[in-house]
Amino acid sequence: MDFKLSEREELLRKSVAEFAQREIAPLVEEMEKTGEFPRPLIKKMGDIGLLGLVTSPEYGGNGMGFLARAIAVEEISKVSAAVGIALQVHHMACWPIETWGTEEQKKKYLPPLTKGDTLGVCSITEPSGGSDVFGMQTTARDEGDHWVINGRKCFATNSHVSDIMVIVARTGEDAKGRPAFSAFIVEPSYEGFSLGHEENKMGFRGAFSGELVFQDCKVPKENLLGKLGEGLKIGLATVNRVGRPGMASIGVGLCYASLEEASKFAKERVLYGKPISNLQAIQFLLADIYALAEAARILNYRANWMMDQGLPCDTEMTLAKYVATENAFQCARMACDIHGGYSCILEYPVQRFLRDAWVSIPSGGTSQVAKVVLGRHVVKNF
Amino acid sequence: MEGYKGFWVFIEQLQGRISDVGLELLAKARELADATNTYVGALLLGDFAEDKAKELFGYGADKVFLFSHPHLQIYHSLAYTKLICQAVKAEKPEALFMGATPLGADLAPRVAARLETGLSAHCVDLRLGEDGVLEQIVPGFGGAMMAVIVCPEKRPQMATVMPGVFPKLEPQERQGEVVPMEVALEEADLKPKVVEFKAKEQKTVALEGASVVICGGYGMGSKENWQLLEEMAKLLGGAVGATRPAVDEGWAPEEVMIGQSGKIVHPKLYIGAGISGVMHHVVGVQDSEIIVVINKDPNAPFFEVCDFGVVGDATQVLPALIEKLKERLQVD
Amino acid sequence: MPEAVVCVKPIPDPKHWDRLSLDPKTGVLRREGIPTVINPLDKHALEIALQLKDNFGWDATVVSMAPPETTQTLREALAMGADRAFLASDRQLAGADTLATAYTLAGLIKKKAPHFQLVLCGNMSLDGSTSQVAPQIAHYLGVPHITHVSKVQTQDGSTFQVTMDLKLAQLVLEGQGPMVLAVTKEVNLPRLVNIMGILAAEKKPLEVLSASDLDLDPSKVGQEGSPTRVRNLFMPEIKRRREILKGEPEEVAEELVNRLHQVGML
Ligand SMILES: Cc1cc2nc3c(=O)[nH]c(=O)nc-3n(C[C@H](O)[C@H](O)[C@H](O)COP(=O)(O)OP(=O)(O)OC[C@H]3O[C@@H](n4cnc5c(N)ncnc54)[C@H](O)[C@@H]3O)c2cc1C
Ligand SMILES: Cc1cc2nc3c(=O)[nH]c(=O)nc-3n(C[C@H](O)[C@H](O)[C@H](O)COP(=O)(O)OP(=O)(O)OC[C@H]3O[C@@H](n4cnc5c(N)ncnc54)[C@H](O)[C@@H]3O)c2cc1C
Ligand SMILES: Cc1cc2nc3c(=O)[nH]c(=O)nc-3n(C[C@H](O)[C@H](O)[C@H](O)COP(=O)(O)OP(=O)(O)OC[C@H]3O[C@@H](n4cnc5c(N)ncnc54)[C@H](O)[C@@H]3O)c2cc1C
Repeated sequence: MDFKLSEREELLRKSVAEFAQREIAPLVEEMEKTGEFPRPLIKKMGDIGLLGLVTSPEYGGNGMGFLARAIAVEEISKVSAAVGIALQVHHMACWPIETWGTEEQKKKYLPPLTKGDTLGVCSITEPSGGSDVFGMQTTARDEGDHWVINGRKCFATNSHVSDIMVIVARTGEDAKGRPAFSAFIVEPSYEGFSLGHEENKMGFRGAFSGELVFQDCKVPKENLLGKLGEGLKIGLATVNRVGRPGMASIGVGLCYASLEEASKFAKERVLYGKPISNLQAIQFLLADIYALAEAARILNYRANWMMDQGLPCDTEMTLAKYVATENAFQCARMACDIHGGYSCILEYPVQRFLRDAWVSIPSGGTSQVAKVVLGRHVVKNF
Repeated sequence: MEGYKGFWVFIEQLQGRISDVGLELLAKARELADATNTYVGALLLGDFAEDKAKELFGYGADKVFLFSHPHLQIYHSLAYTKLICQAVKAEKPEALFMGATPLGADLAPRVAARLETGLSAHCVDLRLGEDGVLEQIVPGFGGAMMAVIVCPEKRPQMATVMPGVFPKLEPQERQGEVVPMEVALEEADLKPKVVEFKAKEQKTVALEGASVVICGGYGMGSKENWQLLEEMAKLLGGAVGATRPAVDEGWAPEEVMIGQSGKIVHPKLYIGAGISGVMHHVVGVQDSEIIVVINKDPNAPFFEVCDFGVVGDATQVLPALIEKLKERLQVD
Repeated sequence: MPEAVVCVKPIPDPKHWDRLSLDPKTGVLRREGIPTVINPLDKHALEIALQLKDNFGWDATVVSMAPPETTQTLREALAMGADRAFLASDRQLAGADTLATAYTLAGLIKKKAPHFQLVLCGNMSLDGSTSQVAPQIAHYLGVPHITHVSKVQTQDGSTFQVTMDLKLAQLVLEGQGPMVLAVTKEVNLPRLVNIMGILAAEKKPLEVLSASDLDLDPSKVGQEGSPTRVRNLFMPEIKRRREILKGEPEEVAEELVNRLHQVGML
């Protein structure tokens, strides 16, 4: 076992942290106010290589892998969890295209995605229920030389800044009569596609979450991703192996952001003639934040390391996501406690961490759903 | 060390105007020379007549080595280095001091390297050790660490010294000797060639990066009184900052608010007037090297974290302070 | 190809300077556990070399003298875009003052980049902060130097207009290599490391040399070769003085001016 990050990963962490400080930190206030994603940032993230972390060099990426991605998303999220989710969902579009796409699809879509011409979307959730994937209503009909898609997706991260979307829709029934799904790559210029409502969220402000609307949307035949009927497999694998560790990394970033702000405030705030960091009750809160942050980080690194090694890791990914996002909320909560009344004031970032941590919990699957998975695992294996 | 005598000072000049730091160093050299029974030498390079050199006697110099040549009016590192090293090799001084100014910091290391001697940088104090060796107090790690540096085996002992740490002498009637030095330069000594010399106009200083910050709070009372702060800042080459209530009153623009929601400043000198000293403000100024607080309430919390506190009405203390500073800095 | 040599000094990360301490017995500086970073101004120096590389096809070589565990900081310089790095690292070199440091770095440059056009340094390190190394390197290389450089311009990549900032005035100098420049932060905004750069850096040469590889005079390196000695180190009390002055405005004003003068503030 080796818990030491390599020189490469350490350098990555430092470089991404510098990038976040220089390019993202100055944008946060505006993002909080308007809720809009700062489009010029996409190109900058492309230039620095963040968009190509899980894409091979032959398609324009750098293929540094999942542990590297965990570190990068964590450092970005320490400064802005909203940019963290935009980035991580972008990877959720790249990865299935490289894993299941045809050579033509990869050549066409991956280079612009990694260069930073666009952010990707991966959209499964519908108003009918994100947890109940079988309840998905969107359909795709085979019209011979093209597909016709009808339906409405919601909560799609990057909806309003994307030119490339991976979606899952119903394409009939399987042999046992259960609904069958397939995955598609959709461009917003296709006839019958439109952007719907843009959600006004309490957290992740500055990351778009919006509706994708398909009304007899004509999708070229060759834009089927993977085989017919593989849609659910593709969608769930993407959520499990890319989406969950992405959310986990955001959670870890938020845990450490809370740790740093809480510690800084405790050392600055003077009561009874001394900094409150001298009070043991405050130190206990700091100790808890630290413990939760470290635990989340180690679970997340392990899961991503397994992914890089090609080991089965769906359970570990779910565990990391569940623990990291729940811990992020608790850490932010305790950081807010330490801030007293100042936690309510928008100038102090801890209130943003609390809101972002809250929103990170359902994103990528709720904690209840995670526990359904983990509970099943425990019953089967222990 | 045997055969080495005299404390020397390099007299920095800009466009024929002698900077204070050289005069300050003459005062210190005088003190060290008197303690060890030797002389004070001054190195004056520029386009000067003897009269200018003689002015230095009053500040403590016994001998002024005058290098006068039109080419020396503007600083050239190689030319200056060559001439100074020639003089040092001929006269063998015990020590050589220069100002820790950009010019001094450019010149001194090159001179030290050519003489293969030690040089200590940005000294904040100089004193003689018990063994007669010069102890040079040098800050490192942004002032978090101080080193006592000595140069026991090589001569001259060289140091650059921060401007302002030693008071210069009031000019006295003193006699001395001007030693005219030969200036023989080659073309190579004037490379790279200077193509332009621009005196910088004194712009208003930005708050970030200002080495002096004068900050006002709600206790300043009015926009008229605020002028006092502006005047102080101009006098000291600093910038004006404000607390949040002062900004809210419209006495200062939002950009100069200091503290939690405003700017963090790191000046050498911070003066806060009419400010109570709430944490939100103090976090923005606590890295200042020296904090001065002026407040009429002796129990104001800001006094807890100050270096010098003045209990008094800012609208009376500031005008008095401005007068005294003008006297001291000799401006009108 | 013309070559620019950039001197990069690894220093303890300033974010952790509150953890510096002195060994109470030996008086030696303890910096264990404090990560090392590139001296910030050295990145500005490197940026100049990288722009010459981008615009005029120059080679960018990084040199350093530091303990062996600092290779990561040189890897970072390679990731920013430098072509190769040389680290002089040897017990014999330890304890060097600026003269011995400059002698060693000049020796390294003569050995590994003898045809350099520019040597680029930061104007000052954050830790030792003497600003002495660059002019002293120039002495040992026998070339001119310019410090406090706030602007570097060139039309053709061979003649340079260099602005030296003297605080109250500016000198603009014009010259061609070989020369040594020491730059301030005004000179440019250093580029960020990108991920492709990190991967590329792993394949770039980073050579660690010992003192004996460098044809140096052993009496001129390390503590041995340093004319200055640190008699002792101490941490100044940063506690506030809390001197309270009371009285008539004229009196306190006079008092205050005297105090400010005493502490070197005027
Ligand atoms: C900011 C944000 C970004 C998002 N980005 C994307 C995206 O890019 N792409 C995408 O496809 N989706 C995205 N989502 C959607 C997200 O995946 C869903 O919100 C999530 O899966 C939950 O679905 P739901 O909101 O419809 O809740 P529901 O599924 O309606 O759940 C309601 C409640 O029922 C509980 N529940 C459901 N099933 C069970 C069960 N079996 N046992 C016990 N309890 C259960 C849930 O835990 C929850 O408490 C995003 C969501 C957010 C908030
Ligand atoms: C508190 C303290 C005070 C000191 N005072 C003195 C003193 O008064 N006189 C003295 O001679 N020594 C002094 N030293 C020792 C001095 O710091 C070391 O010799 C150091 O190796 C070089 O000096 P610097 O860091 O001050 O460099 P600076 O001259 O400030 O550095 C300028 C540039 O030179 C280059 N450079 C410097 N060192 C290296 C290196 N090792 N490798 C690569 N490039 C480099 C970099 O580009 C750097 O930006 C002091 C050290 C300390 C800790
Ligand atoms: C979230 C938040 C963020 C904040 N951020 C900042 C910030 O970034 N910067 C900031 O400055 N504040 C900030 N504040 C406000 C801060 O809490 C204080 O209210 C503010 O610093 C007090 O400013 P003051 O000292 O000028 O005014 P006061 O507290 O009203 O003090 C005025 C002082 O002037 C003295 N005085 C009155 N008359 C005279 C006189 N004639 N001569 C001498 N002394 C006199 C009084 O004795 C008193 O001590 C913030 C507050 C909050 C809640």
